[in-house]
Amino acid sequence: MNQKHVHKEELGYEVPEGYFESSKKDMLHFLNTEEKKISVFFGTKTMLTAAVFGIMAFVFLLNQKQQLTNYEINTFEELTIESLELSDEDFDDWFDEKFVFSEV
Amino acid sequence: MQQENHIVNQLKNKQYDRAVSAISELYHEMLYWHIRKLVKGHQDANDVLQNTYIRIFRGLNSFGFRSSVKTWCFRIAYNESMRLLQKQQKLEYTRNEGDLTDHLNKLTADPYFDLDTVSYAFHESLIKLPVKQQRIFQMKYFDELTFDEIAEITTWNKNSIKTAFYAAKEKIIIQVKATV
Repeated sequence: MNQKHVHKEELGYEVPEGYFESSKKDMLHFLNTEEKKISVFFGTKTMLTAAVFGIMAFVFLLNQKQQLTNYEINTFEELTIESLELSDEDFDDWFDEKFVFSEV
Repeated sequence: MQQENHIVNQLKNKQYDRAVSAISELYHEMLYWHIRKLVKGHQDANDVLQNTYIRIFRGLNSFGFRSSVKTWCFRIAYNESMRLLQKQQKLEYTRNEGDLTDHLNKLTADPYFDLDTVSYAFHESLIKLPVKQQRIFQMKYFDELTFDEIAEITTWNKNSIKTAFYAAKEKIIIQVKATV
């Protein structure tokens, strides 16, 4: 049974002349274009993702380094403040304990 | 059936470009008419058909081989049509069974609708059916789908589809006979 004929005769539905042939080609052409767009998009996306991860790793390492430096400065400041409470006689022992032996 | 198996083999071999071409070759016109009867207008049907192709193409790699390719494509087309109808709030409109004049006005506004060639009584009786019966009748009568296929496409119960179809058929026969 010819579908085009049945739909026209019984439901009054018509289509433009040569519609099915041209629309079939158009749809497949459209899909090819879409596919190319998707592959370009995903190519760009991969590069962007790699760039974002690179930046994040750099920021993380920078932050780690800064934290280490801060820790050293803070420790030194604490010790310097602590040293102020010491008498001159006790200082040599304290200095050996906190700096000389801690390094060993 | 042989062509359907050919598409299945292409899908198994991940030849999606070839599969979509084969689907288009086999079901293009059928899908268009399936959509056209749901959305009515030619331009809407063309837009929905394009969206259907996009969904088919993007979904081919996840095709589960649980249903036939034909049923799967028809289901996508059905869902896309429903999406358009919901968007245009046509669902409310089509549920309005009594408003035949509005419905025909809408149809005649489409340049690709020719009322002169239509059996008016048949059209009138079809439009007067509840929307579910209308869709089932069209799928069975025009698209020549089986009850199993309609059940898969619409996710409605097979027995209720059968009941709805025979009820619709009965109503159409009575209505057409009454006007002759």
